[in-house]
Amino acid sequence: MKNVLLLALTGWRENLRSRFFLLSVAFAGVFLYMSLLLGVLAVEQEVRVLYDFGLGFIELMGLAGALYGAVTIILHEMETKTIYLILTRPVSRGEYLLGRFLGLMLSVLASMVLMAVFHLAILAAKGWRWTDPYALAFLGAYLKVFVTSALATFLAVFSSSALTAGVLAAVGWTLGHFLPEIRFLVQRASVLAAAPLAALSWIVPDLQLYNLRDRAALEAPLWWWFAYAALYSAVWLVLGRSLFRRKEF
Amino acid sequence: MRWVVALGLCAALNAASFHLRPASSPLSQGLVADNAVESAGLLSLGMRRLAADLGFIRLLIYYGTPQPGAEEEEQVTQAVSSAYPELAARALRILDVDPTFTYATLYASGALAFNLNRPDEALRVLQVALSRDAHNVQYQAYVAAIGLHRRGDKAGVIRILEPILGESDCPAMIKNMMAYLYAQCGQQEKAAALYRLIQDTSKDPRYRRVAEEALKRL
Amino acid sequence: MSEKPFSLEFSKVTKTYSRSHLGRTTYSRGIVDLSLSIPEGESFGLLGLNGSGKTTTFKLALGLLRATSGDVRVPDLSQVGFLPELPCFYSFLTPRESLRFYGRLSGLPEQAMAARIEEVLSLVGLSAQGDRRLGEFSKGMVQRVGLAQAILHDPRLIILDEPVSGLDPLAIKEFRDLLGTLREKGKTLVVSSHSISEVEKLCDRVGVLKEGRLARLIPHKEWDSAPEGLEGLFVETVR
Repeated sequence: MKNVLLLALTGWRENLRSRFFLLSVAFAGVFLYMSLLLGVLAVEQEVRVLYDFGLGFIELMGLAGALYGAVTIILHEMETKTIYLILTRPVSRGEYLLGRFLGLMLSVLASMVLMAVFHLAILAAKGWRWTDPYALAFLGAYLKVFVTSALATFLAVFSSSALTAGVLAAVGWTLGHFLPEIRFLVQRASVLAAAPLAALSWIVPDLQLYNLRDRAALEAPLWWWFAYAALYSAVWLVLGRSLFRRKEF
Repeated sequence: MRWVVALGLCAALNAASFHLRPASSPLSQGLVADNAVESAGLLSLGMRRLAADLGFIRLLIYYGTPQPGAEEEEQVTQAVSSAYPELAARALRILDVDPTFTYATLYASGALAFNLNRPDEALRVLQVALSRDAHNVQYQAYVAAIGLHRRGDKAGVIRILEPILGESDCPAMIKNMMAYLYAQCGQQEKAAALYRLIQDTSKDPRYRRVAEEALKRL
Repeated sequence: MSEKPFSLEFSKVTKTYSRSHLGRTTYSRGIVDLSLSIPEGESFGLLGLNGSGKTTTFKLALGLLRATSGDVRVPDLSQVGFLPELPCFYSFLTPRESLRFYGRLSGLPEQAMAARIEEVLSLVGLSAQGDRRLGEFSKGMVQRVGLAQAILHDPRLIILDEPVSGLDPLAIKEFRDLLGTLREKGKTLVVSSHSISEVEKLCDRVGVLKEGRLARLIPHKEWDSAPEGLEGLFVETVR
């Protein structure tokens, strides 16, 4: 565990200096500011639009940073060969993968919190007062990014191509939001046509679970949010580790 | 074997998740051609509320654009009853994307019933809204108020809608109509107070302007 | 603490690289039937032309590659130090921060860390530059940090892949002296280099790889007595 923490903290320091992260936070700041224009169009619902747009944008920027980081975790270190000096020490491949993943998730959390602070400042300036659902919606957005990043990390180890892993993870993200629709279709389609959809509905992450941004209230207890994120991510990270252990450098 | 166990675990987790929140429902209606790509894009990113927000902005632009031959002021107070034929359909689309967007339903049904004098369409929108949120007091009050408005019972409309004026998502349009009804029923003080409230709190400049002029008259 | 002596052993090791593309798999040779034993305390040189399998041999020893067949026996990785050809570091760290990071990963005790870092920085001549970002370092300075991280945890086996490549003559001399000191301390050194004269000065025994096979093992006394020295024997073997 000591190695995992050490790798996570070093990864976090590395990411904070990454141009991609800095740009994404700066871009988010500019874009959130520009959302004020969209809010004006909604007249009396300005605050609602700013709230929805801001949370959605924070989530997407967090996802972009996380996916970029997750699919390049190993490839970047293989290219720069920094991985040699780590894996030739008493560090297991699993520790390395988990450490890098947690470092990335820590960095993504930091960037999302920064964006949220800016978003809250805009909302406060428009007369919005703090409500608990904001924190829960933010947490939900982060857990969605967390779960998808675990899947992306596995895909990056599996495919050895950052582009393929990124595209597949993005497809997972989309399908994860369409799970209720997939289940709806499965009930109405013929067995043959429904089989691939049904199979997908059991594998892709249930991201609607966390989509409090789109709902008025929690549909599942909060402990299940954490349990699902931890277990689902663990499944793909463990699978990723078993592939990573067989990887050659 | 590892793969089987992993996929089995994912399936078990998803099954537990579905079991814990069976209420989650899919879209029941298809996407409409004029904004299908945008809606599908936003829904696939898990952004129903934002899709509904954009639909609402479009509805506002639609309803805020003067119809041929109409003055802007008529928009706010009273328009030709055949104007804005798509208003109900647009409101239903928003409701379909985000059933919790109460303001959009209240705004559209209020405009249909009290500005455009098309209570049947307003009631259709409210019926759909109530089928999704049966205990919504504001929807219930609107249905009752529309019935009374049809019968010309202004006092009845005031009695029904008065309790919901304080709600945060009560549209300025309804406040404006209520102030007008107060004035018609001889309750000048209440009318003035409501017009002042609109002037002070509404973000819609058109209603602020109407309130300002009404206050001068009062 | 008395430690059991170890040896680095390759027993009939073959490494074949395979690459699949569009359903077609192509194979290329890495190492063929390599049997070699390097006992503790020996300085062993690995010579060969480009693509002869030197780096593959090192990667097999370090667990970065898996043998297609045969066995590789290495001591525990905490006992091994590795200097890759052109080592790369996190550019945002300073040498001191980098060494602390690698020291912790190698299990170096915290209480001994600071003193050991200063000691190795001094050994590689970087004490004064220990707080500069590695991103600002020249190739030669990075190579020195590379050596520092390889010896930081006082390993018994040190594997050096082209340790003097890209160094200026003065740095090469300093490197050679430092490796000589390590050798005197009883460390096991396994070195690959294109510089035959360096290997000649440092090693007790040399293996020559040719097209993935260990073509010849040459003990020190053999090149001492050869008229053209190690260079002559090497050219004779690979030609």
